[in-house]
Amino acid sequence: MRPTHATTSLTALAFVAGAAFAAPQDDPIKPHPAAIEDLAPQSIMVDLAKAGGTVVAVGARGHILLSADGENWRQAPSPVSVMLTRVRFVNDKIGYIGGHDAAILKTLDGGETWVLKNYKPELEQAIYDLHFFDADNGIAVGAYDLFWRTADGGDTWEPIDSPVGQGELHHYSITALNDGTLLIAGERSMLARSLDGGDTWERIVSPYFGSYFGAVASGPTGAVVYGLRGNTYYLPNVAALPTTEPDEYAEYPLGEMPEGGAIEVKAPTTDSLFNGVSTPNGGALLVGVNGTVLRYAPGATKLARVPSGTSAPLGDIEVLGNRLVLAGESGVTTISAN
Amino acid sequence: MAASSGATGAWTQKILAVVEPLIYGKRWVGILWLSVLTVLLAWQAAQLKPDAGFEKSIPLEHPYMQVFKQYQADFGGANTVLVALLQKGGEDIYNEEFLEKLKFVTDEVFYVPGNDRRRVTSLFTRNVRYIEVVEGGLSGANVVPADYRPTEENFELIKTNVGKADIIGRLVTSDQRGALVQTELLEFDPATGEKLDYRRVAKLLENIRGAVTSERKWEYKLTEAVGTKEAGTVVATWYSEPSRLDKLFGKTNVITANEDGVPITVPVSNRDLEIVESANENYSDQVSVHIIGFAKIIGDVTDATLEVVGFFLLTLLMTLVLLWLYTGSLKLAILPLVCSIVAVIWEFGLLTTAGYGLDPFAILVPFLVLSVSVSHGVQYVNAWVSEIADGRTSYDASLETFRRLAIPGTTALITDVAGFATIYLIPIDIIREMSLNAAFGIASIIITNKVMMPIWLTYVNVDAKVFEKKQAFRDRLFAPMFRLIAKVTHRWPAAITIGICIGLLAIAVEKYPDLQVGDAQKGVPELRPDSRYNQDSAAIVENFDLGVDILKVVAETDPEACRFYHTMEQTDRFLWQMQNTDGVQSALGLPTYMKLVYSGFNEGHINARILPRNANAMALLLSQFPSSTGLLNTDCSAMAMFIFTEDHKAGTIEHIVDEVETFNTANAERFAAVHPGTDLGACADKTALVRAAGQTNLEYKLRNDRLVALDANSEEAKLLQAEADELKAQLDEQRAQIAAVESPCPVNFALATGNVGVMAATNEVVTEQELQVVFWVYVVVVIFLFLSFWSVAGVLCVVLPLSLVSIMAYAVMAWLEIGLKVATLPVVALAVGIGVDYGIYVYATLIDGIERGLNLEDAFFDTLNKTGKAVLFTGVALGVGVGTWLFSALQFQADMGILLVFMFTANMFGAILVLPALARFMTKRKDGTRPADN
Repeated sequence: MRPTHATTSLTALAFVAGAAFAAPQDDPIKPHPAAIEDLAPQSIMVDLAKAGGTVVAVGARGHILLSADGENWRQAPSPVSVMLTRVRFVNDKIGYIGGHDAAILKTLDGGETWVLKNYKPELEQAIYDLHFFDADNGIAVGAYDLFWRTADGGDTWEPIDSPVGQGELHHYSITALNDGTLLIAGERSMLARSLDGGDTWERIVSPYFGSYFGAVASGPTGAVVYGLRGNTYYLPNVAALPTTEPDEYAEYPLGEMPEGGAIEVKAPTTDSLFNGVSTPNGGALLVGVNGTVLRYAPGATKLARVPSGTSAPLGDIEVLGNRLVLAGESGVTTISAN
Repeated sequence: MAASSGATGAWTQKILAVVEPLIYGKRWVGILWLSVLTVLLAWQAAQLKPDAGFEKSIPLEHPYMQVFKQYQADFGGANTVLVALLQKGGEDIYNEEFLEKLKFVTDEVFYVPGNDRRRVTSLFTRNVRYIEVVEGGLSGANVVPADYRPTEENFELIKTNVGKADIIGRLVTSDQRGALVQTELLEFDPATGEKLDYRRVAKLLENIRGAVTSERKWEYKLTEAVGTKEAGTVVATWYSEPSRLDKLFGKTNVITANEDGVPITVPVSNRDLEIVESANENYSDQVSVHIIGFAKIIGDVTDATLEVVGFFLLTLLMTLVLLWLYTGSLKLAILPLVCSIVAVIWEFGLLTTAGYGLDPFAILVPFLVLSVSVSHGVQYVNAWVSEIADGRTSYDASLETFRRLAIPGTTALITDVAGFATIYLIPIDIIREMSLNAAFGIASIIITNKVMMPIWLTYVNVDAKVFEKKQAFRDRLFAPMFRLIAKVTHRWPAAITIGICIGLLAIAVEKYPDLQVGDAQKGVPELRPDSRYNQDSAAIVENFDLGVDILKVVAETDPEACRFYHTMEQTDRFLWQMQNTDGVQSALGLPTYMKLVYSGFNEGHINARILPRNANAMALLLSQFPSSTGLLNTDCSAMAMFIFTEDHKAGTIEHIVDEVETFNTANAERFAAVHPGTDLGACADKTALVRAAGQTNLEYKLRNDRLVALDANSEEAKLLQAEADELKAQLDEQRAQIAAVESPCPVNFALATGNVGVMAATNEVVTEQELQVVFWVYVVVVIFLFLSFWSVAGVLCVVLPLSLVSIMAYAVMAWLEIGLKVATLPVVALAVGIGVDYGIYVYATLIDGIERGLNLEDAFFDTLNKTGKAVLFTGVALGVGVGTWLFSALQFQADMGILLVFMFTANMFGAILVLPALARFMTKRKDGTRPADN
């Protein structure tokens, strides 16, 4: 048997999306606050962050959950009911959430209350990641080249004018490495970096032709990048990798990887990896579909499986004392860190 | 002896004056027409066919069921059959033997008659697919490859595919040690309109089980050529030992062809076939098979019928023996029994004549008829014996008895008929059938008991001396007890008795709210909890996540509207709201899967489990979902929302249904708030139009389907065609009206289909109608009682104990956790029917004594001697007989047995203890004086 490949790929979808189509009686779109429901902690949760001692989880239907121990969760009111994709804290109090409908939410009280800073459903674009240099200055990346920055704490957002944002691709993550290099990982082998705090950007060569879903800082200059079907690479020195030109993009532009520029880290699975968290000494924990939790030890060429007790897709992981908090299709749970 | 009392005395005299000569005049005329009628009706009764049906057990007029019918072709109904295969031992299902059996069972289920082949679902059917994300797009295929061979690689592949297809818990058990084959039955063959033979389906399903789990098989071979089939050809294979009955009288349909090669079906008697037993090479000791579904329930209930008839005969036999002991004459003991059996024959004859069959769930009705008939028969024979003992001739004794009992007896029976007729108010066909069935039976008793028996008794010759002695002996035996009971007519004993009754009433009223509507238990309440069926049901519920209780809500919108985000967002929010509702195990539907596929388009990312706002992206998603998925209809104007419930208790269902309605209203308001120009009134009208168009469409389709099988030039076809054309025009008109509604409208969440939807509708109907039925039963009873006694005291003396027993019967049901449902509902009328006999006989005799000038105690003592004996005898005899039902394999026969025992005895106590106590404070003579105070 040969599986029949569905002809649909993402670019095809993007192309169709570009065609004008007027829905006769479509939404006068307004944000609807999320419903507070008992089962929210069991709904799809995709991202986690820590605000001081509190873990904040975000996910489907605008759900925002707070917990001190990872076991008991309470739902914080949310001004939107769309899927929230990312939560980032600048410090214990100030934090931002990104989501579909280009929603950006901000908190000033450690996640208890959230204000809607940006909501543009008509763009049909999602925010996939946020990076804030301080309370006011930050960058948002997302679907179909969404690439914005703010200088006023999220009140206004300007598109970043860069060739990196001109390929109709999803930018899945933006990560600050330990040497200050910013790394964007995204769809179809996309890796881009900024060496000047986000002012200028350039594509860099990629060891893999598929999509990356994220990166974790590892070592003084390095990063672990991971993505579709368990593909994981350790890039020892991101700042030193050669660039490639966007207009040279082939179907899957890889560029020429120098010797030792990327080290493949074998995953014991072909499950896609969506998110990760760095652990002390340059290690990382990565999570993905089918309840996959993998541990990266510095210098290793293989990822080790951590039993997660679930087979549901996972969206994120966070370390909380001796527990690991998992967010995924069936909500938020904890497992032992040992 | 005065016939009766009060103003009715004159009436009854008049009636008797007319009726008596008819019966006692030319007796041979009576004998002749009774015999002719009995023979005719017996011949009709012999044609009685078992007639089971799913649709007649549901309230088709209920709005939910209109939704059910409207979308049955799209989303199926509730007539599901599940066949589960479980691997024994610790292994998973991915091995040669299990998969081979699963494939075998899937194929066999596919060929079960009446099954909707599009809905057969298992790992081996093509409607079960998986999708996975690969670089550059999506990949999807059948879970089991089309060229499946039992190899290790394939086992691994199937295991992986099952994981990807999101079917664990549904088609494969959570621990992957079992798998399911699922299908749905169509009650009527769309082309021929022929009704499904449920017993045959049940038998074939059982045979599928046998094919895997039986070590032996029995092949039926032709002994001579039939059509093109040669002698020796195997024409049927059964996996359980054929019964002697089947060998002798069974028939096997041989599908063959005639000389011209045209396929024909020839029924061949099993006597002309050779039955060869051999080892079943398909047998597996590794796999167990569990089957559930309405068809299987019908099969199991029908299979138990033989046993039911056994209990029926046992009851008869016990009554006969007791009667014999009581009367001292076998001849007399047989008489009421024969009359009762004749009544049942008449009942069946009338039922067949009226065009009905006997439903397995109505199997108890003839027993009830029999019980009532025996009760009246005993009264009659008892009174006749008393007359004989007083030295009258057979003829005079019969006439005297007739004068005394014909009017109260007939009144009691007419009250019964009316009582049973009132349950006809409940708009569920099977209950209406039971109502007619019972009414026919009781009406027959009026003739057999009040015409046949009196005539017969005039011909019975007995030695009066023997009876006299017996009578004297019985009187001596019972006298002390009767004297004691008669004391209940004194002031204090009467007050205490009434006090106890008020106490019992209070307890019963307190217990009443616990009465369950619908089914409270797991599995089906008709069968024993440890029956094969309920064990199968438990095994399936335990091993599969998604239970067998499904409420399907139909989300209705405009054609093609489900590619709009705002439409699907409403359904998505609905499912989430339902998921958060108590009693809901899980809720899923089209948006659930659209989100999954959209995530697939986005490389499987969990943060893309959303509905895209872009209409083209939505359209692309929708293209992945043909209507064969059962999630949406062809133009996507309706989507099925599946709500799996934790159980099917009435409270759970009611709560969920309420939540659906609350959501529907709130959603409409929210929609109107954000969509300017929304006119919710117009939207409600539109929903009504959609429903009306749905019903028109059904009628239209029905005629079209019939037309296929007809010769286009026949008169019938022309008539049908004309009707179809008219309906089509009507449908087009309705559709135009729907399209003309200008206001944007919210999605309408229409209740309901699925088995829980059916239960919701049934429970609503039962709850709504039940008290109404009881009310009308009592109205009828009161009217007839008043007509017979012409006094308020008489009505109260009979009705009060009766209603106490009715209320207590509900309390007993609540206490025993017997739910009020289709099978047990007739109990309502029954509780009244049985008791009213006793009350009427006792009160009529009592008032008679009082009018003759006796004081209350003596009048009641006299009553006990005359009719009280018979009441006691009937109460005990029928109570003991029906008590044996407790051992029946059918739970509902056992439940009925308990309730009947309770009612026979409670009404007996009501008539001989409570009635006189009430009479103590109520009765007056017709001249207004109270009876002498003892």
